[in-house]
Amino acid sequence: MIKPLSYKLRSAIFIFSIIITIVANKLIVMNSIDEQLEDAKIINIAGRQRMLSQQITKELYAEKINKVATAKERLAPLLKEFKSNHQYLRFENTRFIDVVVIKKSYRELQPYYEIIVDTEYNANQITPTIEVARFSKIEFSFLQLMNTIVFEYAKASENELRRTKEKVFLLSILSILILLGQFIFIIIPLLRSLKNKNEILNHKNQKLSDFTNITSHNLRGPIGNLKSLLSFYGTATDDEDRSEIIDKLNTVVSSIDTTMNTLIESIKVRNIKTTKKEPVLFSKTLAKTKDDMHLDITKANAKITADFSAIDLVQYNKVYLESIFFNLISNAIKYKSPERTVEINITSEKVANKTVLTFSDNGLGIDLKRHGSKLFGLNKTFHKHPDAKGIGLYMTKEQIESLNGTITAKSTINVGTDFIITI
Amino acid sequence: MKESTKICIIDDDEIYRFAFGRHLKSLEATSSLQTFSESEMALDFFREYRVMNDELPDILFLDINMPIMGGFEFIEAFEKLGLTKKIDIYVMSSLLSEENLKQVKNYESITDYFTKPIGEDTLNELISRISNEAQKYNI
Repeated sequence: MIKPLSYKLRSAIFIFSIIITIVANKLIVMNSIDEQLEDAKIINIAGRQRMLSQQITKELYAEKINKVATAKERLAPLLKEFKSNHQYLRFENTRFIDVVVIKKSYRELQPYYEIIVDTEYNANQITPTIEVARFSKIEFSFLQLMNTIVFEYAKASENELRRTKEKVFLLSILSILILLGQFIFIIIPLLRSLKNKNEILNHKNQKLSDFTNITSHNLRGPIGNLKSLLSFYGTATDDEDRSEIIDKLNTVVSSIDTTMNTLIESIKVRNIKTTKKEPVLFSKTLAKTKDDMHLDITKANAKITADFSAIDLVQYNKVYLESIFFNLISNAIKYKSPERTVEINITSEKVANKTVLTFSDNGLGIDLKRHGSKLFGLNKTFHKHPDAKGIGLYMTKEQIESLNGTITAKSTINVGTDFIITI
Repeated sequence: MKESTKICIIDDDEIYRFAFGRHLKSLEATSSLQTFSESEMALDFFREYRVMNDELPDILFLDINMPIMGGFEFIEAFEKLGLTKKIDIYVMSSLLSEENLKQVKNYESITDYFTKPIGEDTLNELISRISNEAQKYNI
């Protein structure tokens, strides 16, 4: 099984991808702005070429037809700019050089350009009227082609801008998806695990408060007794009195000892974080318990039947399972009815993915309405019995709950008791 | 006066019965101390001597947490006996939970309650209060 990535690593991956998206977005937008600036320059220069071609023609007219002497001087800078612009558009600029219409237009435009550039020379050669008229025709063709080129440039530039917009849009969607992923894969599981931890904490709190109650219940009494006995000992007048007090002190101390040991045991059970689970068989566990309790079972002439046909093999803590079998069977024998021989029936079944183990006996039964809430409490006994210490069921419950299981009881007085365990 | 006050204790804790009784004796609070380790036995006694008021105690100390028949269950059965003698009942427990306190208020026959172990001062005060009342009653 692949171990799920830690929240730290998951967060790092998501933060990294968000940063990548933001940087990519920024780069695309900046690049687009640069391109737009360049496109504006190209369109501007191409537009200017149209204007220059017209101005050159106009100056030519002025010189040839209107005989304006200064026209020649004005032609020179116009032609210079015209040439350098053409140089830039055709050879220096790399934008849109592969657009077919632009390429074709430039090719067609080249002869007209050359004629216009040669105007200075032509100006001396050509005769007025007819030649100037021919020149203006050339200029018209140039103008037309240049128009097409400007239009194409603008169109290409717009296309670029649209593509950029699409890219930015896709990136925004990607960012939203990443944020959504972060929510689904980090925040929600984190909240869920927090909720889980909170429940565990609440449960532990409850256990602690139970534990405090148990402690005060079971230790306050005996310790108060100790104090009383000690004060009597101080004021005792004869040895007989003293030895009686010492006797009683012994009883109290051993009862405190038992209580303390049970409490320590139960803390141990609670503290084992992951109690080792292993494959165990109910049938084998029962056989072992019967073996261990051979004497008690024979003495009570107890009849134990079992049906583990529904489920026999489970993953569980072996020691706990043995302890559960031992405690519940000895419980059934201890609280047997004097009118019947002990019959214990143990069955297992599968209910909604859980294994349910039921111990039924035909013993004295317990009045659950009266004692239900205390049934699994420490030092709670409900029968007059010399061996009744009220520890077995408490420890059984602690063990089952430490492995996230439950134990409940159903009972009818003088008919018997069912203990139902879900593991 | 004190000498004639009859006291009865019902508690399953043997040591507590012993210690409490001894305290009472040392305070010369009573001449007649009766103890029961199980409430059923006590109930049998009260049933048997229902009409013999001289045999019945004046004060009853009753533990709440006992196996089989707890203190409150005893009181329920006890109230049904319909005794003519007024017996002061003091309930005691090592831990009086809120639920317990609520229950205490449900029974009219309960005079008071206290937590175990009872301190010597509390006991002294309780005894003097009891004997004062007894005096008043007798005068």
